[in-house]
Amino acid sequence: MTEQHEHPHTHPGAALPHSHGHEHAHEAPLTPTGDGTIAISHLHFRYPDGTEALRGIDLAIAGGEKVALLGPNGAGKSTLMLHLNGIHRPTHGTVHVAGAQVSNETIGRVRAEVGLVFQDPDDQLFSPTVWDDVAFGPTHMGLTPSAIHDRVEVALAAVGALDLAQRAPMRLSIGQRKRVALATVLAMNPSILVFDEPSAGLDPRGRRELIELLQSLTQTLIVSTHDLELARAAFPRSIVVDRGAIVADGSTSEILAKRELLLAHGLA
Amino acid sequence: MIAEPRGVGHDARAAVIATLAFVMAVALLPPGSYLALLFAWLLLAFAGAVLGISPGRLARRGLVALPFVVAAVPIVFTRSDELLWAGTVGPLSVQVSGAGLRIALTALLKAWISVQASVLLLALASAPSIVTALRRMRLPDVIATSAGLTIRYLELLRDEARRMLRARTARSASPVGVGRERIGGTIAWRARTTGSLVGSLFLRAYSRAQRIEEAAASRGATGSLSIGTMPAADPRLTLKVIGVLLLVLTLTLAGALLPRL
Amino acid sequence: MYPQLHIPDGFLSPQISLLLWVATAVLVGIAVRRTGRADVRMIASQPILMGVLGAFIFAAQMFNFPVATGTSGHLLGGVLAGYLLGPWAGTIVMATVVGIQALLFQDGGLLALGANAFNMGIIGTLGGSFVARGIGTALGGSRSASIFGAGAAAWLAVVAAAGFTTLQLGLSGTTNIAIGLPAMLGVHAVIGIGEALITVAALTFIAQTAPDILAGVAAPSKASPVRRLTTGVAIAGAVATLASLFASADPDGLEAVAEQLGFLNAGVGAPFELFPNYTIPGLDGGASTVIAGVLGIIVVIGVLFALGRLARSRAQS
Repeated sequence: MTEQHEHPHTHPGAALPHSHGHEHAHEAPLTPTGDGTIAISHLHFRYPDGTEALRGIDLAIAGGEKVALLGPNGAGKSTLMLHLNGIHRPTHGTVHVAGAQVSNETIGRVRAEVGLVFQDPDDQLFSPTVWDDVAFGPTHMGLTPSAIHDRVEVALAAVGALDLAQRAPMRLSIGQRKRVALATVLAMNPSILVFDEPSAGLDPRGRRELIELLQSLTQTLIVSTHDLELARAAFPRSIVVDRGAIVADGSTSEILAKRELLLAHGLA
Repeated sequence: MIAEPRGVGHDARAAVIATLAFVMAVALLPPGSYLALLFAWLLLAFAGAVLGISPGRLARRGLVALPFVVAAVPIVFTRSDELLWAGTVGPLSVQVSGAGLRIALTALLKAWISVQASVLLLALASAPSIVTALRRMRLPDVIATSAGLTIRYLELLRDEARRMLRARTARSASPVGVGRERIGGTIAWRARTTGSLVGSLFLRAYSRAQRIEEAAASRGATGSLSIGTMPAADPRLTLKVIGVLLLVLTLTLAGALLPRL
Repeated sequence: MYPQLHIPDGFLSPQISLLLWVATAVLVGIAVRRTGRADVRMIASQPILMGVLGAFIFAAQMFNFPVATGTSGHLLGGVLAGYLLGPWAGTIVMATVVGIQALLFQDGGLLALGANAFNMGIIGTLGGSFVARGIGTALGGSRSASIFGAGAAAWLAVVAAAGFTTLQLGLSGTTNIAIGLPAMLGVHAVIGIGEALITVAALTFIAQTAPDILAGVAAPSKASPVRRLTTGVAIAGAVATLASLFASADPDGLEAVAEQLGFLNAGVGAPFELFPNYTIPGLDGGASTVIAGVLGIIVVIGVLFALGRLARSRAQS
């Protein structure tokens, strides 16, 4: 059923694709429809139990930008990310994604535009096989079987996991699972990709390959991470979040040079 | 433990129906149908060999049913028809009934064979494809979806449980030199620790369920949730079902015609 | 050693298997319809939560609990599941768990699945949950009362499951009820203590650590008292059917039991010495005692059940 693309370097156990996979990503026939912009204005969010998680966030991200979200645990990074695909809705303020405000009417389109890659790939891989998991998104979008098939193939090829298509998720290494988790989201053809701690649990080689993969993606990228080296290597812009508010927003190299800032906000 | 089977993503309905029909035919054999049971086992062994499982290995897998024989042993000593032996052992009067023996032995053999049939089913079709086949056979969505997820997260949660148990064991030392009050603590204390482990595991499972919900929602799931692609229907299903019915017929005939002991 | 309750194939008569398959299917079908009713928050969530908690039950069953030297109880988790998910979703999960045990681990037969799911899912979770609620409400309805109710129900569920298992085997002619029933009930009365303690401890832990989850997950059923009464009647009816089956059982079986009166009086110790696990002292055989014991269980469950109904409807008016 699946014709194998040429993946001479991928083998079970390899953490992330080698350079060969990236060429496929560039020639991926899928081009996102959205413009990949994010505009958040005066965002406040309070959890049902009363905890105030976000206190007045304002930020704007242009299409194709690579932004790192930095901050200590509990700063509100994850909460903020869950606003980007409408899982959380603001208590006050607005969130605009790819030009559309996140609301019940637009939620379908929003979820297709924003691909969220969770920290634990096991949370994302809940289907019996890799193919099923990657097909889940397109299937729910109501695409035709042949369109689904194409999307799945392209997504798996982009992360170098075509040979894993019929495997069960529980039988994959952590690196393979992370790749597949990304594929599940790529299959929806988003213009914005959001990652929660993507380098957690990866060995140095895995991390290097992750960086290469991220550098090959053309979508708007937002990464929430503690990994300052990852931020420095692949994300020109950084936003520091602490206690629900933005405390710094600017060039990564400048921010990482301010030791007091880093110390004050649990980054060093 | 769960071997990677062939036939992932295939229509498993024929396999499921065949297994159920076979087990039913075996169950219907009257007590003492040892020859028919042998015939049934030979069929299984042959099918197993075709699938690449040696009869010996299959037979050994069937032994998991063995412990339950304890339930059938009383019937050997309490029935009073066809007494093979009656007498006293010490101060007690004991009798061994041939009828009881026959019942117990037949039950044991049936269980042993049925387990092997089940093992073959798993070799023929993966658990998820069996769930999908059942879904096709009108198993309610809620059961099929949650069963699929249970199967998927089974090993993960058991691993978490194992790690927690290992951590508990690591801290379950015997005192050295100190006066021992009560090794292992009181029952109440032990219950409390075990309860905390179970409780923690539940909380972890609950959080994971929430995150899976979010992941599913992030990929567009709303309302009814269906996970896993439905494989193409087996065009030769009717043929296979007819074959299965013939098999059942053969077994039942064997049960009726072959002499019983 | 854990005397298992999962009956393999070949031990139950086709009639018993079929009867219990029907009973289980009907009750699980009712459960499916009831869980289908809207949980408005996120409808997709229920199968996900149920699925993951099914895996949790599997994992929880690995936790052993040393009761005495050489004996440890394992958690069955039926009442726990019912408490955490509600009686209907909990029943579906337990039945599914039993099904997966049969399918993936050959723990229990495929034809016998109806019986096993009945014993552990319907009796264990559905029955157990109602009993738990009944006791909890009768004791005042506070969190600790309901947890205590869950513990008591957990013990009862284990014993009842063992009783029904033996009953089914006896009615199929594969075991001798006069011996099997007291033995199984006795052993499981001890194991049930472990189940009760772990259930209570786990629920207490969860109540202390994450009370909001407990409130959200173990939300009380919003069904009307009438509906719950009819459900209660349905369950009682199923139980009564089984009881009447026993009463009109295969004459051979009862004859054999009657004949054992002489045997048992003479050699009361013999069968038990053969099975080191079944070391139950002070046993007094006799068919009438046996029948009384079985019916007693049913009556106790029924009474507690009715009490719970009564207490609940009074609390609501």
